[in-house]
Amino acid sequence: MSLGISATQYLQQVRNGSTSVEEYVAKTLERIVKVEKKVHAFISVNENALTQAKQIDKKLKVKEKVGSCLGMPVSIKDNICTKGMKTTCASKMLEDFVAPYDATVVSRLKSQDAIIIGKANLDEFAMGSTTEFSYFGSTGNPWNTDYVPGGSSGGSGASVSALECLASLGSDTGGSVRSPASFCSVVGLKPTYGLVSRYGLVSFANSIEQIGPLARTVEDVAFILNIISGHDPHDNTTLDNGKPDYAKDLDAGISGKKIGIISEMIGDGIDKDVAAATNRAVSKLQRLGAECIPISIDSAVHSVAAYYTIASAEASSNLARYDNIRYGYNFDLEGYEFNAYISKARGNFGPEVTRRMLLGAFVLSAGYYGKYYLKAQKVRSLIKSQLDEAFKKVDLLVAPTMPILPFKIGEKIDDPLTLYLLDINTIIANLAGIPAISIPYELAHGLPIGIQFFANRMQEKLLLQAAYALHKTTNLPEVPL
Amino acid sequence: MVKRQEIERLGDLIKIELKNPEKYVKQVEQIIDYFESLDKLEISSDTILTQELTLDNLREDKYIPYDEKLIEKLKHTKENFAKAPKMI
Repeated sequence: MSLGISATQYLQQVRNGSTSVEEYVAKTLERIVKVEKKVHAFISVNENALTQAKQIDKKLKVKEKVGSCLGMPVSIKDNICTKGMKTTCASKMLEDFVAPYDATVVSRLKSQDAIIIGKANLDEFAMGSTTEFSYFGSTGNPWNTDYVPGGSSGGSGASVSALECLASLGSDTGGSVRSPASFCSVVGLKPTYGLVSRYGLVSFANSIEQIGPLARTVEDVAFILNIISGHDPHDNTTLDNGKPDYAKDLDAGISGKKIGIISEMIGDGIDKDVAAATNRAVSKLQRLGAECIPISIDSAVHSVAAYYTIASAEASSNLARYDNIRYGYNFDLEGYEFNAYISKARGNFGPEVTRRMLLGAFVLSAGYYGKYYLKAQKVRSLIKSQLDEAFKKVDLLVAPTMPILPFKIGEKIDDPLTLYLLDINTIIANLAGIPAISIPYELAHGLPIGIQFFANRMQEKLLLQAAYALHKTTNLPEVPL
Repeated sequence: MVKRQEIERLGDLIKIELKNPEKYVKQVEQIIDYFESLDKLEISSDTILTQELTLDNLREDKYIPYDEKLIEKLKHTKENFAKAPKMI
């Protein structure tokens, strides 16, 4: 039995009895022990996973009804609440926090008998693109552990890539699912805003963030999306999607589809290996029968400034609740005045969270609001209208997920603006609320390159079909770990 | 230009004791300089994306008993109250 199978293959093997849930979960836990010293994808691991696996096997043996995940080990980004397990957001401020309830996405996975194998590392409060800003230490890229895995859902991407689970849930505020998917060579989907419930996701920027699945294949991502999507009474921003089967007709192909290549995302600043891989992907899409044309979304060049203005403003408001009284770490109250205590306790936020809250407070201050925040909101609206126009001409858009290859841990950590600019190709999907997916496409110098598709709102089915068609043409090696 | 006093004032505003304000001065200034591109941008439309939330889509407002005492999860408590530092 190999751990390097897809979730779909796992389900087949459990169903036909060629592997048991216990056997697979036990082997996964062994793998975690073996690779975690190098990868550090997890903040915590579920100690009851094996017991849960045995219970599912027992149910299968007596032909009792078992949920569609059949004990599949899934990791959950540690900013998504899991009852009875720590949810730390990779922050000292929540280092001991145990959520009293499950996020809707977690309860939906549990109701289908998925096993939450562990909580995945992230940049503190999901603010970052490299997973270096975790209070618990950075995550290594399974393709070369000296390199960053992308972020902020770096633990999610790395855990799937390093064969420590079959699928994962991350959150994507500005590319945080797609960036690690690209850097770790897995598939990652950011759904339409409102398609997946955010109830139980620790908020950072409510108006743009979405929970999304990461897995080894497009089919697996579609399978997880079937479970977690749809209206949730606990989150009134969720949409009623009519519960389509996203995994059905994945092989419909892209023949006759019109695909726009976003000009602003393949020009200046893009690594030459990434550009060459993107050109080859476009040629392949044409060979698969799609018509590819260049298309301009010129407002995209302002997306980074708009995104960081809006996200920082929302972050400074959302993180005001961490006063170390309602949530917090062990820090004695005695000898402190109320405000001094809170400021002292909050001084333990990490550098990136502090930086974003400073920026958020700055752009919302009197005198600057119109100059930055209001303007950013107008840019957001402009991006949305330009994308609406683009989708009148084409069915899908394509671009490289990340403009550069994964880089060494520590290489850019002191240069926040350079790190922010890495999100240039992913941010528009969040600002406009449209779905986007990253698939592993090639390797250059042993490091992964991902290709990204965008579709119009609620067009996940079309998006997954295109991603499936291109992904099927790839033949990438096993992760060298 | 962002000054140290401005960063310290923002630190007070967001209630974070900044151990090394100087470190943030240069970084925040560099980022704000980059944000300046927004101010220079001419956008004729005043449209802003809004999200409409209708009141007929709210969950049922019903009492659901919760069997755990949440107060016990706090770090500092006294009897049935959360304990906070002195106000004066």
